[in-house]
Amino acid sequence: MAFTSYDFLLFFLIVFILYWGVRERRWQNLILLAASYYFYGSVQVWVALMLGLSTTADFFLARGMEINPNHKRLFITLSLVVNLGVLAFFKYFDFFSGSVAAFLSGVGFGGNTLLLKIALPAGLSFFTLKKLGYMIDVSRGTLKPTRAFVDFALYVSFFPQLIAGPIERPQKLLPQIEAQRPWKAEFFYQAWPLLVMGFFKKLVIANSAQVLVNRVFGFSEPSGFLLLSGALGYTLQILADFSAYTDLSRGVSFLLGFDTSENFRQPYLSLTPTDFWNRWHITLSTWLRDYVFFPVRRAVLRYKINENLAMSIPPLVTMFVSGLWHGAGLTFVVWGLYYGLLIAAYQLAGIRGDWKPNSRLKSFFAWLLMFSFIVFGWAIFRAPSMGWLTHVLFASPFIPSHNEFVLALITITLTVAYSLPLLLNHLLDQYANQSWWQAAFYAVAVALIVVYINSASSDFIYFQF
Amino acid sequence: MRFFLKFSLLLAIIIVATSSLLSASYKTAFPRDPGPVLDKQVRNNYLQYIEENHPQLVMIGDSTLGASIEAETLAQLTGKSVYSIGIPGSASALWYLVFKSNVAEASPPPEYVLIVFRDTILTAPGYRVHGSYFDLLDEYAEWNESLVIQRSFINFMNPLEIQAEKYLPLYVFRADIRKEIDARIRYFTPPMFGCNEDCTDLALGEIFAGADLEPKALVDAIGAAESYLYTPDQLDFETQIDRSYLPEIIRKAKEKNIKLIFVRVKVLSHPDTPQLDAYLAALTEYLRQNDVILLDYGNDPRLTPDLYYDSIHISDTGRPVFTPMLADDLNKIFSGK
Repeated sequence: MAFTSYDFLLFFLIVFILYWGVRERRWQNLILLAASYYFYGSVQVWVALMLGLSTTADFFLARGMEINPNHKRLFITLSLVVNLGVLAFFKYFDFFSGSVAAFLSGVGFGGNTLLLKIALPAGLSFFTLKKLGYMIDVSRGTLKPTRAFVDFALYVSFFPQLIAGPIERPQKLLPQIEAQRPWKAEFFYQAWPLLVMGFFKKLVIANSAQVLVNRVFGFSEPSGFLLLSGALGYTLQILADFSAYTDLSRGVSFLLGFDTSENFRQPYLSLTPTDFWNRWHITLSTWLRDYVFFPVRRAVLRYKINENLAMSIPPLVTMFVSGLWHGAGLTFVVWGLYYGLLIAAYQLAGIRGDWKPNSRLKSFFAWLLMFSFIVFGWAIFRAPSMGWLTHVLFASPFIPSHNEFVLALITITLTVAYSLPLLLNHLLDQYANQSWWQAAFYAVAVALIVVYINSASSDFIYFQF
Repeated sequence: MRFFLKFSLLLAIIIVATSSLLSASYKTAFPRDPGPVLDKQVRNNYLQYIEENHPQLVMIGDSTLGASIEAETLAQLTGKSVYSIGIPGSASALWYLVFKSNVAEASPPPEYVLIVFRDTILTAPGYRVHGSYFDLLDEYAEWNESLVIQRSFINFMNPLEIQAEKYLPLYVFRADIRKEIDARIRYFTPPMFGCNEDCTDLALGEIFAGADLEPKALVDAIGAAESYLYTPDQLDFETQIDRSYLPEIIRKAKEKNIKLIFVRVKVLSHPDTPQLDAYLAALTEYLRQNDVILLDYGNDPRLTPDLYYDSIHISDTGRPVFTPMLADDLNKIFSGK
């Protein structure tokens, strides 16, 4: 059930009426929990069942850590094994199943019939990190486990965040779940701009960019210039798409009385790689910082190794994990390591995340360099395979053919055209917040949403057959 | 709250202004009946050909038709004159329109009409009717094509869309506005480099024709587009049959004394499942009850993967293999065996 679908609208309307109708916190939480499981199980019941089982296991393991602190290590190990095992199984099964199937076929076991193709349940990567964060905090003693199962289950499965985050920390969401939530008009006033921008970014910007970007990355041997245009288009598409989801998630959460975390803070204005990760998918970055980067750094500092190496290992490991988390495939791993290397290189050059150049010209060049790194990073991320990318980079000509040149020009024009509303909204936020100008921007955005709903078929490639 | 009021006021002004402008420029009064606006012109190119050449067998289908069957070879092998209407990007809505307005209306109509389809496409009236597909549909539709408007469009609208179709000009004419925005973007920079609108269209046409497409991207694109045919709704034959064009095609064929032959081609993209098997059993029974012939090659072991160009199109190598197979079965039908 996508946030932009009619089914979700109906679903949310019913939940909203019931939720604010009961007023009592416990009933509200029960309604939200039931709604979350319906939302998740509406496509396949077994994934909701799996969520329920793993949530129950973690609830009791966390309680076990509180009741029996001597066995903390056992409980947290069990939780890590279960959560990471399930994540690894679903996330990397397809990645390995091809080779396993080939092997089984080779030894006469007919691999394809033995192995079922298992689709990754949507949201598994997100709620697994949510649970792991909770369990690690409980094991460290920085979080007291909740005794209310419904509250914990709701924290894990809260439907606005279930499919694509934000990866909310228990310290922020659980107290809100445990508190009384009377309706305030303020919730609506916080929610509507987020909902408008969410729909606008998804339906108008991301969906428009997607058609050309898919075509560029669908070429078997594009020129370097075409790849550059496609990477620029994808740079816009992925920001619009992902931040749209976060906006809609936050908007829906506000309508239910919850203040949830923002995930994007003008990431493409970053001056350094660390700065970028402080602004891009913020809830993931902070999760990785707290549960991977810091522990790795502490571990590295215990050994008296070369200082440069000690500075480089933690970002490399962290970003490698980030790449693995994003997907099963070499492109994601390389993309993660690429950022690990960039962060390490900047740090070795003495440029930290909070670095501020002392002149506007320096700032501009620092931004330009970082933006180029970001665009190249997305080219790695979006490439069909590493073989494809290396071929385009090292074997294809940079100068495009006539047709490719036309496509590249249109892709760049489209990227610039659809970036302008985002830039304009950022400037309005900065200099004319809540003014008539910004109100006009939102009104025009709504009109454009109406125009862009189902107004074009995105399957242009297929149309030609 | 004040900000929301500002926004609401400006949105109301935009809606009123665009509504007045659009209803005046399109000369359309609101509220109107929901559904797309079809123009009055109908293409009769197939009708003309059939009336001038009197083919005995007319074949209708999408790109898989041309990919699977060599019309000339089939004519030689069956001894019948054959005319192939393979329209890339078409589906049951367009086949119905072409059959109704171009084939059944011919005088005299052909003796046999063969429709090439795959899996659930015959009972999927909402498949390939939006965006660029709509332009194609409009070419063969009359302005008051109520069955098409109902079955391919209104049946798929939710209550909100129906209200917007009735009262909101911005929504009704959104495809035209969108085309205008897209055109402004598409034709903005290429002319600066000496490529005018025709040159740009030609370049994009060639690019989107699939040349130099990465194999996995092709498989993914086809798989994504075809997945619509395998949703639980589409696999529910009993619900879909009365919402589809199949009963009307059969009725029209009987009325014009045309013998219908449906040919199910094999696809590699979606393997048979119990749900698809149940659907096909119901379809087979329905066609049998209506005295319509079904030639089912969906699971034919002779059509091996190496005979395919992609997951649904038979290749140049496969076409000479499939055409005689079909000719053999058609000869049995023609000879009444």
